[in-house]
Amino acid sequence: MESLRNAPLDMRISALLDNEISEPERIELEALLAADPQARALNDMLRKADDEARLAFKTMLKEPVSLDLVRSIKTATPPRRAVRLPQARRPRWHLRPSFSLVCAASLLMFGFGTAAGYMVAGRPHMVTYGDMAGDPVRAWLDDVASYYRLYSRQTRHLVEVPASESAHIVDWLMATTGVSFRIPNLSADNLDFVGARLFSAGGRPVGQLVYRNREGEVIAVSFTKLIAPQSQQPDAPPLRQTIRDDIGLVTWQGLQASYVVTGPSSDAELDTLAAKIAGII
Amino acid sequence: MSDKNPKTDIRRDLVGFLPQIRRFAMALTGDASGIDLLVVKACEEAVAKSHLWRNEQRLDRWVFTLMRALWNNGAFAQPTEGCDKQQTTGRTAGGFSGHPVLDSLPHTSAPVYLLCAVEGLSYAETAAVMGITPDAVAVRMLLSRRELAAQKSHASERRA
Repeated sequence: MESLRNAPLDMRISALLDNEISEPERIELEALLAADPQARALNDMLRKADDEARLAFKTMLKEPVSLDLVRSIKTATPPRRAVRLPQARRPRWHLRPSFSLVCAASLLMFGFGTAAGYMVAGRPHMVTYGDMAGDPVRAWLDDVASYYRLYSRQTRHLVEVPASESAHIVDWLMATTGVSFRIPNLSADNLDFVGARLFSAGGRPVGQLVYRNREGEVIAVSFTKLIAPQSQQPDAPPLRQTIRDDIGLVTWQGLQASYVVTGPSSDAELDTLAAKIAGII
Repeated sequence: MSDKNPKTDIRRDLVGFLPQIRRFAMALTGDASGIDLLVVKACEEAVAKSHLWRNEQRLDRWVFTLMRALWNNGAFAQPTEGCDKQQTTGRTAGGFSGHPVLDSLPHTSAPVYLLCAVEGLSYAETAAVMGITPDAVAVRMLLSRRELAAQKSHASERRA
């Protein structure tokens, strides 16, 4: 606060009562009060007014405070604080590897690596997804045999497209299987062309030409796009005959397709018939 | 007076200071009606901001400052009525609190006088609470004392 030396007397006295004047000013003012009766009277008047006012203000503290007010303050919402839950101290583990420990760990890892390499090298024929899927030729033949067993017992629904629609059969199966073929005429072998159907074998579309002999037995010629090109062995027979229960299968491979003739295993002429078909189809 | 750790709950201390806080509210507003609402609001704000309260600061002075800010914000301001009454009665004093000492003081000087002469705050501390300069505090203290002395002499004359 600035100097009150030039302020009115009552202001200086007021500041003196509040102890807000500097020490030299206080000494000067107290000397004035001692010498001037009017100033002293003013000082006394202000001091007494102060005393009475303080007493009156002190009386105000005795006023009762309502319980509602106390309750509202006691139930005021305190600020939210982040609460840290007590947690058990985790033991700290300091890694201080010694030279010998590093050498031992290195040797151990080298040993593991060597063993893993040896095991991999010792098993060159590991099982692949292809192996797990099995031989595609075998899978194809399995499906063909299954379908033959199912459809050969059908009478009304033996084929999808009857023999009367031969031209359509050729177009349809060529477009679907991707194999160009001709419908062999096997009437000389007492086989009547009944019609054709399409099914899936080994995950591939298979076209099937269905014939029936005089005894009512069904002979089917199935073909699909070449499954797996095999190296032609000069001494290997072009036809391979297998028998599965009561079904006989004669298979061969052409340039662009795999073929199988299916019929009753009791038919002794099945391989001869297959050889004839192989020359025509 | 209130050297509590700021992390402790200040609500108990506030309740302990309630008479002083109410008295300051009455001096600030010059009107007894509605001061409890102002007190509650100031205390709630103090509790909500208790994390901002510095340990070295007296709690009551901090609440006085919050209350004065609330009053100045206008949410609880009602000086118009008091001014009208002053004009009609020709008094220079403040409101109608029911306490002669308060009613005899100019309404802007009453809280200053209370803080300085009764609560024992220095001019600088009072200025900080009231948001005014220390010189303004000195002037208001003088005006208050003049008014109190005049009221006293009037009373003496009436008794005579």
